[in-house]
Amino acid sequence: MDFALGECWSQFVKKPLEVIDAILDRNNRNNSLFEKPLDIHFALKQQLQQQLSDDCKRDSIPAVNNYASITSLPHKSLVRFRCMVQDMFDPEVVVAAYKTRHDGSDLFRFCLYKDVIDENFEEFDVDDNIVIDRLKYYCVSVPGESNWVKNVTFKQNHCSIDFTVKNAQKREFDQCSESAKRTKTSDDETIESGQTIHSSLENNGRDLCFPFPDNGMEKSCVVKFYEPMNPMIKLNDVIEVIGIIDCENRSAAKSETDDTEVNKLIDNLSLAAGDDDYCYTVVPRIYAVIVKPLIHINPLVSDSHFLSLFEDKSFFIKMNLELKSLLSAALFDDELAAEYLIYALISKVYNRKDMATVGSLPINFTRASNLNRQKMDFYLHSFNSLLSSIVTHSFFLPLKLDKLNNESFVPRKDYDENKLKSGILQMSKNTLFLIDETYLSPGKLSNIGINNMSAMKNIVLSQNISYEFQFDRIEYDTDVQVVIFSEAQSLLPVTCQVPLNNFGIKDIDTVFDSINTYLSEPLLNNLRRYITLCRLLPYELPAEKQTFIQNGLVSLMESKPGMDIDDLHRIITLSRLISVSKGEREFTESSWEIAKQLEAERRIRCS
Amino acid sequence: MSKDYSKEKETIKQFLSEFLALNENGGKELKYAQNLSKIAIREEVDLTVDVDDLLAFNEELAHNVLNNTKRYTALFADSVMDLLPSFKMTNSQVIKDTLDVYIEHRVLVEQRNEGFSEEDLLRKYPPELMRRFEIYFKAPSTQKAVSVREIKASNLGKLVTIKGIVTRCTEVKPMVVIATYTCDQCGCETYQPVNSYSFMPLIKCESAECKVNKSGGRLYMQTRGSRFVKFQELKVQEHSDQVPIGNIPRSITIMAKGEQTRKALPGDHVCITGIFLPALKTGFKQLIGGLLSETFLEAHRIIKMNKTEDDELGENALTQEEAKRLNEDNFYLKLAASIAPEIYGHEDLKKALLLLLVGGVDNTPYGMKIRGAINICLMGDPGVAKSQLLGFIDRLATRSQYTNGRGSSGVGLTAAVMKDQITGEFVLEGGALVLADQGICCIDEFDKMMDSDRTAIHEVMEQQTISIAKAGILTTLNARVSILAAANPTYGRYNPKKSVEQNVQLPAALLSRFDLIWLIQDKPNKENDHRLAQHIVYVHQHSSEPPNDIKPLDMKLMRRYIALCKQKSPIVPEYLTDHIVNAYIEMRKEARNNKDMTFTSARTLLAILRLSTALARLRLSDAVEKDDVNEAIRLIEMSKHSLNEETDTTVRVQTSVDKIFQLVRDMCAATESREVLVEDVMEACLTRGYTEDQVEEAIEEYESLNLWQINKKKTKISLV
Repeated sequence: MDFALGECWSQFVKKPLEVIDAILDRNNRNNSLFEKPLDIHFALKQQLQQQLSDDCKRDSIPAVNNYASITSLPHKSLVRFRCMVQDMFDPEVVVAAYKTRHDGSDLFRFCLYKDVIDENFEEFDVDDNIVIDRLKYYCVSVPGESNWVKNVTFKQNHCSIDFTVKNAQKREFDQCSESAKRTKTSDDETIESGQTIHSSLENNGRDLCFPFPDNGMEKSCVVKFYEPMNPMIKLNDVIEVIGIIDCENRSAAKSETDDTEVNKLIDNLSLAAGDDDYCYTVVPRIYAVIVKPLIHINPLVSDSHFLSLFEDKSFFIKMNLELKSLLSAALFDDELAAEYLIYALISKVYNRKDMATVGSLPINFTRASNLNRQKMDFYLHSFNSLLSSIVTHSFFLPLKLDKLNNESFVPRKDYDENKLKSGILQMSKNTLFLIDETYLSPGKLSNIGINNMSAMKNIVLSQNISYEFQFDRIEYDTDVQVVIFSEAQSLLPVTCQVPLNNFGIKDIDTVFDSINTYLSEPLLNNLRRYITLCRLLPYELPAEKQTFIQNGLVSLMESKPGMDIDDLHRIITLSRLISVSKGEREFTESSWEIAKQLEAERRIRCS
Repeated sequence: MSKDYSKEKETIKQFLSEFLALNENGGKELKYAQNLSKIAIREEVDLTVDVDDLLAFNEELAHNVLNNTKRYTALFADSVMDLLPSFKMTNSQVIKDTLDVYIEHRVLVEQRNEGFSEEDLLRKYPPELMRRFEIYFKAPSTQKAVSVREIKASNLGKLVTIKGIVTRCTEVKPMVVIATYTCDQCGCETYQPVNSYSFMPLIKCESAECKVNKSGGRLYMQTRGSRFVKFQELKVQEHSDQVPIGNIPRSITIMAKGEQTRKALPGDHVCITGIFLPALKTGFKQLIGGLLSETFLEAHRIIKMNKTEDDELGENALTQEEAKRLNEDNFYLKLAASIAPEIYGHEDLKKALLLLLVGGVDNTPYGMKIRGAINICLMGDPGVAKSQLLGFIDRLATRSQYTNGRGSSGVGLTAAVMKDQITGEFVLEGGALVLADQGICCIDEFDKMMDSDRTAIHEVMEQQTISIAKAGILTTLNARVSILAAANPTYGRYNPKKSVEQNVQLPAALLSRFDLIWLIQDKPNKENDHRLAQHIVYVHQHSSEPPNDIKPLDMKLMRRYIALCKQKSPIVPEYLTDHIVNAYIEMRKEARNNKDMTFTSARTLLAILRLSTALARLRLSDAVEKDDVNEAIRLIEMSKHSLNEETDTTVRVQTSVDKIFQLVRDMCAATESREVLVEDVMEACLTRGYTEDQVEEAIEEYESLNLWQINKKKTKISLV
């Protein structure tokens, strides 16, 4: 089956369904196609993928992330959406193709990318249709996404507008750029537009689960796709969806007919079909053609050119030094702390086996006590914005007792609405999680608070978290980089404590002012690339080095009796991160020595 | 290509009236014919057709039933309707209900007027109105219960069996099947079958009389003449172990009607056979030409399961041959090593835990009850994987409860008497120990429990019962449970110089009830270090566990093997008595001589017996052997050893006595002599905050160690 999308690209972006229908009409009497409607889908997917290898064409597809309001997107157009899978609804059974009679002859109709046949509704026989399963995921824009990620993506989009796009389309782009500008310049208006979304949702009596505040730029969609396509997508995975959006709000039409007495009675009788109603009404749907898991969301690192950067060791070394000097300046010239922070930023879980999780490096900065409350707030706020300007997504949590006690951080299934109620601990991979424990005051922990604490404990210890499903709990893996600021040892069992030296001795304003003047846009971009690349760099621990490390560990255990397993794991992890931060892909003895030295220094500070 | 359903119906009739099945006595009986005669006299309501029987009778028919269940349910119902009159016994008195009277009345009136036969008239009424039975299918034994996830669109209309947990259910409500109306003009009755959630009530009378007269008669619904069924909707969700990693569990709606209602409550584990159907679209959704359809499972059979008989037992209990194969040379080691394989070393402790899982044999000589359940207490420095061990045992045991001492009260552990809010009656609610009856109760942070709460456990640990005397309820509940407790030492780390009670601050009465008390310490040792280092490096390098000499057994296999072991109840043969008694006397003697930190009491003797019977069970043997006894004694010795062992390699805690000795040595060094006056020592010590008693104790202790000598007047100390 040939869709020949290249010829009618702009038309396809604008009105994909019409293009597909037109092509299918030519094959209308094809019986064999009728039996397997999914083949059409696969053919289309393949064609689209071919087209997308052209960056220009990819960028001409409007991105949901860039629109201030999702409803302003052109209805039934092709869109792309970078998002996180927040919930998985029960799959639905849907008619993919049906047979109807027209002028006495059989006609086949395909309806893969829609829920309803809106125009030319024809009666069809129940027996003469093909039903298939369709998956239904609730996706939200990546929680905690840094502003620069959005802006850079947007800029790229802007500079490579597809000029074949006709006027109507162009206007939409302009609108989009305007709205994006607005969000950048005046905060008030953004909040306003955000509020309109929220208020419209609140009217419907359901909150949309955005535990991360994001200036009203949060987006959510129900993504529908066909199972054979992507069995590998897990909860909290970050994906890019390219598909056809349907943002018609049917709640109005529905309520007219549904609020009758009879229906109320029925509602009483049956269990609320929560997610279904929900999908029907408020949240736009995307009928996905392509769903692609993303390993990172850094727009500055594109698939094509990161391989070449891997080879450039000097880039790694240079950026490592830049980042170290930058962070140590922000930490009041504490180089040790800065170094640990870098390794924490580029750490990732690379192995899980039963109870052991290898590769995560949560750190706990202690002795953050010299500042008063106000200054501490200001410091951490500036510090957080510095970090979030170099990492792709992050979350800053000032740990307050009442927040801890009253707000459940852990996602739990709400069986009344049949959906997952998200919590702030539902984070996608590689989120930087900055916790300010200095806020905590003595007091009583409620049940919720205890749950929250134990969930955070699990993240720190084993990088997983149990979501609550009324009758049981199900574990989900996390991979977040935890950095905790506290006065003394943290409440959470972080074994890697780094007591800060000279904390707060300089004026915070001047510290961050000098950092900000130093940070040029190109440098920032390079640092952003650097962090993403460090995570992606392949690393190997060759077999011949194994005995070397083993002997090293044994001698460590002998010389320092207090060493426990965590310490040993950490030294290996550190040596890996040190190598990676310099662009090396293999275990080296020098990084092993540096790791040992770092740990020794840290131990001296701790004692 | 449509099937000849009338022919199918004949086959069904033949099946129902002629099918022979073996009964318990080995004879043959007309299985369904008997059922039908009971239905005819209304002793039974449901007719459950086992598809296995259908397969034996006519394979094609069975397949048709499986693939088009809804249609065949109707066909079966029609066939039964046709057959029933022949099964009606003439002399039997059937109790009539309202509908019977109602129809009979109508039939009588019409017969009088028109003179039709009764048979013909009955056909005028919709069959659903007359039906008093329900047809259900039982899935063939070859059809396995699947998870909700595996139900696909291709299953639509077919009979499927699912397994899951009920998350929600509605109240049972009546649902109209046939709505009956009467016309206010002509008195004519109209029947309307209802097949969906909602229906549009009829308003205009369509009878010939009203049509001819154009009287426009209005219809009114008759509740008495309508037929209702019980109706309940359930939501079933996948078990957490059926969910692929990183997915949200899926759920499905179950419609239960008639006899299938009230079979399960939220939280129950169920196995449901039913037809996967699309919901009929009504109202708005139909109007907009929706392509989506909601789906549900029409329940045909709902079975409640409990955790133990989930899938481990029954169909795949371990056979003797399989057990033999397991029973190799080092199977005891192998089984023990399979307990928490991710935790390093501690072989003897794991052996003990294995015995706890298997359990000893209960004895009731002369009405006295001697428990077989083995209780173990784990102690140890923080961070030595006590909780992991507990968690593993909790997962492995088929029946277990896990509680945390800090969060449990005595009432929560044993049983509570609750007052019912509505009726005001007192009801008993079992606590963790009662719920873990015949299983294992893991209590973490045992030392953090309130003393008053802990005393509630005393009875359980020896008598294996819980007695309640509260608010007019006097009762004894069974709590045949093995307790696995974990406690942290009081002083942060275990102090080997102190006794067990001092270390955990648990009363001796409670401690003696544990068969084994195990101290887990992490002691440095070169060989272990090497293995640990190897392990760590391997994990970092290969993203997997290092290859072990002993491959851990699968958890399911373990469970099945343990279940098999529990069926045995080995005896202690006569000739071993002397051996056991001697061993016990030996232990007592040794304990007296060594100023033991633990106790050796009659309970120890019982512990030996329990452990050795458990060992015999593990061998699947019917009698205890000498080796079992020796191993049991060895384990007890090892557990004592773990408590008493001097930990010379760890930093020794300096006591005041040590410090005083140090002080005296320093004083000597300062004066460069080998003698020092007691008076001076006393003064120096008192200024440093030691008491006179402590000083005297120090002098005595080091004199006995021959490190110094003291003159007879006790005024001068001279270092040796």
